[in-house]
Amino acid sequence: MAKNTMTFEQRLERLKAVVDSLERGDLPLEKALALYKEGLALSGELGRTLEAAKNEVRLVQDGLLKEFAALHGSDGAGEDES
Amino acid sequence: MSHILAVSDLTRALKDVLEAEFPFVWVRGQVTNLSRPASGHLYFTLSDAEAQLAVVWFRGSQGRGKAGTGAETIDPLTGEVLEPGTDAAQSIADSQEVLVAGRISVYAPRGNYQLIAELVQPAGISGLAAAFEALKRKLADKGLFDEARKMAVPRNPARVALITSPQGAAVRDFLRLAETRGTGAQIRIHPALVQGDLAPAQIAAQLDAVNADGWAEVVALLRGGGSLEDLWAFNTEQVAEAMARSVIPVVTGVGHEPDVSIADYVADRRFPTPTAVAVGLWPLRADLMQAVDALETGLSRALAAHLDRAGGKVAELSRALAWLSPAQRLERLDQGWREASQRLLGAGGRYFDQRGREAARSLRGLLRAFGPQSVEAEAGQVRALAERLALAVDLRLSDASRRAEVLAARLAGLDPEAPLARGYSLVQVLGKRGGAGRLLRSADDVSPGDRLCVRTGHGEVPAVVTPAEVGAKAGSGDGC
Repeated sequence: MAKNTMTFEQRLERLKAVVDSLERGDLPLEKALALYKEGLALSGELGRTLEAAKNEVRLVQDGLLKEFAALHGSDGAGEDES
Repeated sequence: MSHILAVSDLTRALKDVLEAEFPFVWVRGQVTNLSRPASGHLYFTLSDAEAQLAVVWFRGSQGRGKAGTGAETIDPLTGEVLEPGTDAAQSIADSQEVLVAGRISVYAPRGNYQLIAELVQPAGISGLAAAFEALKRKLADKGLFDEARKMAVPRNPARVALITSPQGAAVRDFLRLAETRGTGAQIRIHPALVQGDLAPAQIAAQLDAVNADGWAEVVALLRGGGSLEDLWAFNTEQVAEAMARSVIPVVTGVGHEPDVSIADYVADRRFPTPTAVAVGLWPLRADLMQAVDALETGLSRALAAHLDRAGGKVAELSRALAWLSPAQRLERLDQGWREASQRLLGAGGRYFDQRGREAARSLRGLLRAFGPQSVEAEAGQVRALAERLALAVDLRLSDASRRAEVLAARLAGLDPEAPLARGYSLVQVLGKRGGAGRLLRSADDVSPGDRLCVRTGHGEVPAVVTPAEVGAKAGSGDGC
């Protein structure tokens, strides 16, 4: 799977696999260095993803996506719209 | 020993089993042993013809289902406005037939299981409870609650659809908590009434719409806590069927902890509250950051170990290479020569050591023959001889002493006085003038008138030689 289409989980799994491979230590040095670079890049991406992580909330109305700003209800009983 | 349980362990295990198995039940029975202590909690026994069940109705739960007074009551936990109902806590009495909703728990100190009541209603009027049970049975029979038809809920979903009231506290609480979790998700709110007559149809329609859209990885039904009537939309067949036909996993977060609706039974995964849904869907973001950090550390450590190993290998190869160099070869030859010399010297040294040891052995032999040891041996012989001599002298002396004794005995036999005792006498011649006495041995030795001293064994007898007797010859037998 191309990197730019990988989900956070897939990147995380890939990073775990990279660390595991490196820890086994039976790789040629060039391969190990390449893995390290890949792992470092992945961990950087993951860190940036988490830093920037923000939920994107939309209200679906009449088939259209609208900005949603959570209304401030007066109390916890505001379930009733009717 | 693991197969022997402590009472508390067994009780805890029973408690876990019972609480998990009966998180929410409706029970019908007759009230007996009703007790109203000052604490405000209610204790009674629910019984029928064959069995009894201990029930506790804590004061905090007694507001629910209260009505008739017209005054609004608010749940202190959720702030929700409670539906008017009968004030069962006040009116409940012994021998009354009631329906009790609640959960089964174990009171460990007494080893009792009991029903913790959430709602108590006079049995005659609870159409809702009966309807709930009837629908539950019907849907269970249809297999809607089967674990086998439940879909796996994705972990950390990126696209989540919510079916809820956009104005409710439930969605606000959910979104606020969701912000601290996951890796940034897209959330689409599909608005629906969550209580009232229109609610079931709207919820079902939104479920179908979310499925038709196919965008979401998971869909969540959210609604805050409320009375049984409030939550009724989630106890309808319409909603249950819409959930069952969803090809997208459906999770529920309806009501609060003890409330279990029909929708909860149908859901692919049931969470007790709206916020619990957020917790269940997404991992804590801080935990993810920590996990990434740990992996990055592991990455660096693994590479460092790799480089160490590679460095070690290079050093090893360098040493191997040096081994093959001419300088090393000369050094090795030199070393070999040194070793040979050492061995030669060692062998020489050992030879002379050997000879030296032999000489020492010979010298010791000589010394044994002629040296101090030899003198010592002679001295020993002298000592032995001296001892033998002493012994011999001793023997001789004692022998001589024995012989002296024998001679003394014999000498004693020669005592001239000894025969006197046997009747012999000694006669001494004293002469006329009574001179020194000589022993009279012959009659010729005296002349008449000589005075004699006759010694007997006992005393002396003086005598005088008379003339007649003179001239008698010795041994003639005549005389006196």
